[in-house]
Formats: sequence, structure tokens, C-alpha cells
Amino acid sequence: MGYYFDIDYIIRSLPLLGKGALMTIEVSAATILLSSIFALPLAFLRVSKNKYISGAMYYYVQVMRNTPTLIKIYIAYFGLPSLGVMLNPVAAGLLALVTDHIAYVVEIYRAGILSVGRGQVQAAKAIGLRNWQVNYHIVIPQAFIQSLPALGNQFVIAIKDSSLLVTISVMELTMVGNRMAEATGNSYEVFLVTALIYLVIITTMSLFLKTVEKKKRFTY
Amino acid sequence: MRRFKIVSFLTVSAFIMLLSGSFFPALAEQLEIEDIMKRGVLKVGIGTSVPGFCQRNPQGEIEGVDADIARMLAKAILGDEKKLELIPVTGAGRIPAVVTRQVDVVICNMTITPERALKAAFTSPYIDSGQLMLVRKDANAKSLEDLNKEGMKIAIFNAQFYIDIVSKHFPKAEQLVFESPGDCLLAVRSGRAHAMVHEFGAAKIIARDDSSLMAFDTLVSPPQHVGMLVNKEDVQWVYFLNTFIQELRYGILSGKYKAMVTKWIGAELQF
Repeated sequence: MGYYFDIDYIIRSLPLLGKGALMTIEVSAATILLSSIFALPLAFLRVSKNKYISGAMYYYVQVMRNTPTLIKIYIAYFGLPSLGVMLNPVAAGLLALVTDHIAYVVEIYRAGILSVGRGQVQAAKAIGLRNWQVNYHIVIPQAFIQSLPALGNQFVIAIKDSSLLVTISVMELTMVGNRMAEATGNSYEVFLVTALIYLVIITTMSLFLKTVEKKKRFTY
Repeated sequence: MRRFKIVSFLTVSAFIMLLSGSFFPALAEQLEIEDIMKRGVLKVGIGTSVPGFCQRNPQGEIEGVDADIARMLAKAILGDEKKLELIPVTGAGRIPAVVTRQVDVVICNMTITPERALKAAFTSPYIDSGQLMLVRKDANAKSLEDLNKEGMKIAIFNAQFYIDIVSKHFPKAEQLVFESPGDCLLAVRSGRAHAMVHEFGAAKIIARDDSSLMAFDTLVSPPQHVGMLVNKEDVQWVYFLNTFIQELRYGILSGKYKAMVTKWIGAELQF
């Protein structure tokens, strides 16, 4: 008399799981894109020679890294309305997730930027390239490739963090899983399938990142 | 690429193996009351954010109708209210908690439905309940029809039962689904939602204590019986619990029961 694994139920629930998965993918993609894009200029601020600017960025990174993501999500959703700012659940969630992840991505980019040999920068300036040209042609391409492994890690974390948004009524995959498990008690199948779907999403993203890494390495 | 293919194939195979589920032996021995007495402590699965039934007080203890009944149960079996271990469970974790015997019984404001009864056994109801709408006064809604409008936001606990209620009564309203009734209440209090589906007795107490909220009198749910949940195998345990509940509601413990119900949820719904 083992555990009766109800495959039929899973197959019947696939549409609902699909909707949840779609929301998860949208939220994760938005977090990843927004944090990767906006972290780049912030990373240059972080490595700036001006110690006030880099200090301010350092302070921001420390605050974001040392506070739990879930608390930030609660602040964005339940806290901001008392200051008069009413964001819908997905917007509030993205605000919290992006400000959180930007901190980590800034540090990743910083490591990449610092890994570009000083000699190259000096040589480029010696032949007359201006600062923005040095950054654009020499520093950023190499820094980006160096950052890719760590970035991949951060993207995986971003996808998993999207599941925290269930606490603020975002109908994503984990919430659908919870509802299915609560309704039927088939918690084993439901959570296993939910985990599998996350696995598929994350593996797909990792594979994509891997091909990007391969291609970029050839061009330089 | 070949290594990736191999790794992913192995991972998927591992999952498929787990899917068969036949590696897990059934926990088929019945729980006997002597086992609880030998152990010396009663393990009860309970929620932590259902207002009126199982909520945390500022000291962090769980209190409410469910908590008090658990204490009375511990007193009845082991002679001492303190020989009780309250183990928090989530909505989705209630049935697994008894199936895997993490707890002896789940007392967590659980509505008796035939579908749930397929997986685990219910005792007879220890309280009758119904759901009504708890509404913000500034939502400009005077009746149930007013809530069925575009732009109305209704907070719902993430359970099919409540989602069905709202979809049926208020199809035009926007649904905000939260992971616990406590979160729904927080959403309504902070202005995130205009209304929520709430247990009728506790709703009236909340509306009485909070002047920004009001409770509509009309029930939006069919009559609900709330029962305890135990493992399907535990026949002897169910007999005992039913006896206990019978005396709790209508017999020698009924004085204490009525006082407790009045304290936490005002009054019991009479069907």
C-alpha cells in the first residue's frame, strides 16, 4: 500500500500551472533585465576615483545585501502605501527584487571591471582614446565576459527569489502549487512537479547563458 | 554538450524514479491513545494566522479557538494543558502533516469537505462556521452587489474553496490571493484591498474593534463544518476525539466551550 501518485490530476492542472509558470518567467525576466542593465552605470560609479561616489554606492550595496529580500518586498507592498505610494503587486515586487539584485550585480560587474588589466587602459589613454571610448571598446566587453559565470549564478537566484512574491498576491508558480496542494492534499506530486517546472526554467536560462558565453569568447 | 545531456538525463531519470512513489512504505500502524500517553505530550498541528482561531499574540504564543481546544484536549488525555506541542502548519501542509504523522491531529479551522476526506479523516465538527465579507468603510460599498464591480479588490486566502466563493459572487471584482488569512487582513487594513472573505464570528469582533472596517451580515458561503483532521488509519483516535467533541459542544465541557467561543469569535453560527 504505497503512496498513490495521481498523474491524472497533474495533467488536468497543467493549464493552471502554465499560467503560474508564465508569471514566474515574466517576473524573473524583468528582474534580470532591469538589474543587469541598470547595474552597469552604477558599477562604474562604484569604481569611481571619487571616494564619496564610490562610498555612497558601497553603502547602498551593503544595505541591500544585509537585509532580507522578503522584508524589502513587504516594505514595497505593505509599507509604501502609508507613505502615499500605491504600487500594484507586480510593480511593488519588481521594485523590491530589482533594488535587491542590482546590489549584487554591481559587485559582480565591479569584479569584472577591475579584472581588466590596468595596462590596457593606460595604453588606450596613451593613444588618445577618451574615457568613454576606453570603457566602451575595451573595458566593458572584457568585463562582461569575466562577469558571465557569476551573473549566471545571480540570474538563478533571481528566478528563485521570484517565488517570494506569493506573499504579496502575485499569482506565480509557487502560489498555484500551494493552492493545488491545499485543495487536494496531493502535496507530494504537486510540489515535485512545481520544482520540476522551476528546474526546466532555470536550466533553459543557464543553457542560453552558456551559448552566449561561448559566442562572446570567440569574438575577442 | 554531451556531458550536459548525460547530466540532465540522469536528473530527469531520478525524478521519474521518485515519481513512482513506491519506495515509500505506508505508515500503516494505527495511533493508539496509549502511545500519546507513553510519549507524554500531545502533538497538534495548528495555524498561526487565522484571526480568532489561531493567531499569535504579542508574546508569540498561539491563541484562539483552535489553540484553546488543543489545550483542553491535552488536559483530557494527559491531565495537563502544558503537555502540548503546538506545531505550526500551513494551509497546504495540513493534510500531509497527519498523513506523515508529523502530528497526532490537526486543529486548524479546517472546513470538512468530502474531497479532503478522501485523503485523511475528519472528526465530527467542533464548530460551525460561515464566511461573510469584511469590508473597509471607505470602499463605498453598502451591500454585496456593490462589491461586484470593476475596480473592487477582494483579498482571498489561497484555497480553492474561497476562490470559488469570490468567483461566484463577485466575478467582476479583482482577486488578490494571499498565502494566509492574516495576510488578507493586513491587505484590507493597509488599504491594499477593499474587502476580504472572513469567518463570520471573528469578522464581527474585528469590525467591532477596528472602526475603519465593517462586516456585512449576509453569508457568502454554504454552511461550513469545522473539524479536526487525523490520519485515516486512526480509528480508535477518531472515536475518542468524537466523544471529546460531543461533550465539548453539548455535554459536560459545554460551559467552557461556550465561554471560549464567545471570547474569541463572539458567537457560534447556528444552522
